[in-house]
Amino acid sequence: MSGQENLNIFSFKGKMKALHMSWIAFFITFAVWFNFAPLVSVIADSLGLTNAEIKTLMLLNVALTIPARVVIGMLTDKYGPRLTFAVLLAVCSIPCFMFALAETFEQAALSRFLIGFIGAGFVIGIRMVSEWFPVNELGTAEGIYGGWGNFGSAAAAMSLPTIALAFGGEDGWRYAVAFTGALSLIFSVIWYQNVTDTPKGSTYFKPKQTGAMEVTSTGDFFLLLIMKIPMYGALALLIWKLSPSGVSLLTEQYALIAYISLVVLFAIEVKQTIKVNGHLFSKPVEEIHRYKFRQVAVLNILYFATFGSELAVISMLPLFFAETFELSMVYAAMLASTYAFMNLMSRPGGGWLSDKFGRKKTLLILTAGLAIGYYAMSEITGEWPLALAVITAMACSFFVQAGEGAVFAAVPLIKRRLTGQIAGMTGAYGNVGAVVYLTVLTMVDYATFFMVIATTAVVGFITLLFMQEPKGAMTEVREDGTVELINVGH
Amino acid sequence: MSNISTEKQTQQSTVVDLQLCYGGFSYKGLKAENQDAFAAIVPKQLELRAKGAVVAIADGVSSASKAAEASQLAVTQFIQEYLATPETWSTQKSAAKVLTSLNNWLYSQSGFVDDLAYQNSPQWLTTFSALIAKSTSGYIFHVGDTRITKYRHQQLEVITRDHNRKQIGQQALLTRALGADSHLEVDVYQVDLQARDLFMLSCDGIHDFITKAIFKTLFDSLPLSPNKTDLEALSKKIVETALERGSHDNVTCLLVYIDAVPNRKLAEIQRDLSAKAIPPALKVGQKLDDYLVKKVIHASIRSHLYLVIDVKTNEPYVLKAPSANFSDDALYLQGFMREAWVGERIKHVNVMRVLPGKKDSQFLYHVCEYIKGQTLGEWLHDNPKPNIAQVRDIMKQVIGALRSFQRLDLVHRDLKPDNIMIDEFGHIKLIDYGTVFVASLDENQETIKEDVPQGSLNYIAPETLLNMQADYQSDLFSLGVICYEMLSGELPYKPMQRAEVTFNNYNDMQYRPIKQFRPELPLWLDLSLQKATAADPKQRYRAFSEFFADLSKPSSSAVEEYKNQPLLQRDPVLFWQSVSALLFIGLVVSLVN
Repeated sequence: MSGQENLNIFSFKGKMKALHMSWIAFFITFAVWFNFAPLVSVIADSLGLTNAEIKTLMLLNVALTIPARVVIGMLTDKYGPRLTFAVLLAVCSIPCFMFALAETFEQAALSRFLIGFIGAGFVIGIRMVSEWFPVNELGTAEGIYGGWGNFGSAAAAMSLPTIALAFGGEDGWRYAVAFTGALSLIFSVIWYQNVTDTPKGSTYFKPKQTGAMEVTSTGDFFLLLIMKIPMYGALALLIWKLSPSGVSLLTEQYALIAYISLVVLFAIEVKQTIKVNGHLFSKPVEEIHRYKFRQVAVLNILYFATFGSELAVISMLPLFFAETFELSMVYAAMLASTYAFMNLMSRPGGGWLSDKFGRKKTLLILTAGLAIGYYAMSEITGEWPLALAVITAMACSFFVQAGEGAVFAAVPLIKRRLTGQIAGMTGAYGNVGAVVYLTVLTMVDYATFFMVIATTAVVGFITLLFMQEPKGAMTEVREDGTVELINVGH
Repeated sequence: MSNISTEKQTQQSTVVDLQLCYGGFSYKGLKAENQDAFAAIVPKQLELRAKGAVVAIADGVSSASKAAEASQLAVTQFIQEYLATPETWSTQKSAAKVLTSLNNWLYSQSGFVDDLAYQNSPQWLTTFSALIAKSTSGYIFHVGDTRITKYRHQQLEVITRDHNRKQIGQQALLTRALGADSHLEVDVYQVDLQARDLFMLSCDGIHDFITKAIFKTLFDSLPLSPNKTDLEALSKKIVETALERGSHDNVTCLLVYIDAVPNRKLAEIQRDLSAKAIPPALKVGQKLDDYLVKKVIHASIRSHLYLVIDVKTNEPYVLKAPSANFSDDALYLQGFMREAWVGERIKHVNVMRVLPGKKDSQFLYHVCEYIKGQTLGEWLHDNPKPNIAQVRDIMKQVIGALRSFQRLDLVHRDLKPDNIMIDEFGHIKLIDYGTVFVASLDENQETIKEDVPQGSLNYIAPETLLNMQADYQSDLFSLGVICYEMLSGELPYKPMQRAEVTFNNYNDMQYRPIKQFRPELPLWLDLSLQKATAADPKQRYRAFSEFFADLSKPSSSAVEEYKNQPLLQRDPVLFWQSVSALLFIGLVVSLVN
């Protein structure tokens, strides 16, 4: 029988090809999604935007992603990753070009809002990778996928200001933005022609469910409903921000319509949840099929604090550096990119640490680290040496991204059958976090903004104490290499 | 040890296997000779699950010279032979085979066969009724006027129908018996079993003389949860009652009492399935039980394969472990265990052997014979476009393996190049039969029903996708696809992208002639492949041998037939292209004018 190549990142065949194609696609979605942050001051000058308007654009950028994740998840189930990612990349290049051509704040706002859709690309690749990698390599593969893909924002931050400068002139930023759109369009074709949804001759399996999340006790049923509220809360917050009480982008009527549709959406979702889980009230679920939804809730909150803060921080960090240290935008963007740069190592590192030291312990340490990290960032002032500020940001981002990796390392261990749904809900919470943090940013100064994140991290740390170490690592390897079962719990 | 074993002990109240007891009594009565016979066997656990418990009664036809011998032979041979049929066969198939050969033997003894029926040649004729109790079903096979009666909830129900013609004032005339004709019609009934059911197998000397009401009183006298002695005592009492009421025949009665039927709930079955832990992904140098990992052969989202050596014997084996992805997928685990069960039972040079595993292992895995070589998929990569002779040789071996599956009433269901190993001498072995369909297990209650078609993208038979059905013809479809792929490197139908059914009927699938990928191949070969991979199983070959025969020699009749077809059927695309071209010319002409 022939041998099997291991996870060799220099290979470009079979499953490795699927992984490489996936992270490149995700990388491009991230570059498009955050092509705005590093160019923000140039764009502001060019379009004549106020500081408040800039922050509104940042917020709009992440808003649509929350509902888009649900839609994209369903499309992926129905049409497979190959078609869905290709269409997403192609379609989302349109608002990207729209933004490149925008002349007014309203045009920019609309295109930024639509670009938010591309942020849902993450879901597709996760699905793709899970079809190709055996379970023992999946954590690492998804770490590479997530980490290297997220690096797209760093790459954008490092390269786009330079590209803008190269084209020069007041319209340089337009070429830079359009460049990412073109990249997205071109790769959409490359992706479609080079990947297949599953390995050749793969076996039929139970179609993955996209309906409402399944829970296994009545208590968990209500906890699930409670956990749904923040997703709508984030969107309501956004509408409020855009309504006349905020930046007046929406009129009173439109805001009202938006609120009502949110309520309707929530009602539909509750109905779905009852449809899937209603049986709980007539007959309890068999012990063997039970799991604790609390575990999911804790991971959701942690991802809110980690990925949510990462999305928010990479949006504002170039501006923060530029303003605090009075730097040129190119230079500030370069420095800010160091934050996202850490993704290459820290996200896969978080998964590795959890494998080594256990899920809960790793998460506790990383969450504590990120609370301290954000506290330190809130202390940064213009008097700090620039190098120290950058190192603080990098240290903080290590904990943030390793935390993300550790959260996703715990996801498959909660309930194997529901991994897809749990991952989807956890991911959505990342976006909810981004919307909340960026809304906070529109109202407070930078120091308070970082303090708010640090506080949520402390809340995350406390909820983490309620999590049980997910079982899964029930085996032990003795010194002579013998694998045996170990006693878990009792 | 671990929490797993303690968990298992807390749920002993449920019944895993069928529990029953029996007792009978036979007496010659007023006659000189007892021509009745009965026999029963309740096998041990595993065999009980696969084959069931068998009870049988026979009443030799008194006009025949060898009546007593015939009835004796019928019951004992039936039980012996039935239990000797493969454990994978369905109950009905097993019983039918045994009864046919039993009948043939009895009939041949009578000398009718060669028209040599002398006046004094022996006659072996007997009635026959058998009940096979398996899982939650009773299977009844019946010829003649012996009877099987069910007593449940104080209700008496005669299940079998007597095969005799009533004549006024005379004795009833038997119209069917074992050994009477070379062609035998057996009545088959299937009844559900419930705890506390009582079955009575009786001869006409009993049931012609006792009324329903008396039977009821007799049955009601049975103590709660009776044992064998109680049943024997009651049988004797029934026999005595019949004699008291004037029976002048042999009198035989056999009672079967169902103590309990398997009643594990789905969740319990699933828990039992996951009682063994799935081993973690192993690395070279690690040891699972006595197997030392030498190499990781393959790892996928479904399973892990390792080359291991048994440290005790130094023999190389292949160890297969399920992927942790399926730790809560009972259906997959059931398939995995079934693979070992089948692997230990199938013995064929072209099928990988699974060795009986260590019974007390905490882990779920199986150990298979080590096969040198590569998968057919890899072989095809190294040997693109092999010649017809090579393909034919491989096909011959795969067909040999598949026919051994067919003989055992098994359907492989997941035939694809990756599941076929080939060594340097071109020797073939089928591996991976985790999705095998086992007829004898499928009829049991404790089998978890499938809700997804079993098989692989592009190789799965269309009927499996449409109605979740699979038989040997579905394997033939997959085989046809493999053959087509070997010859051309392409698939006979447009490749499927995802595991989703995208067609509604067989006509939606359009066969792509192999000539478009490899023009030098002869037409007759294309036609056989088209027939082997026909989407509609009705259009497909009826047997593996037919397919192989057509692969081996040009079937001139098929080519003739093909050529005689109208163009519309032979090549619809060309037909419509021509029609369109003609119409276009017509249009141009009319426009010009």
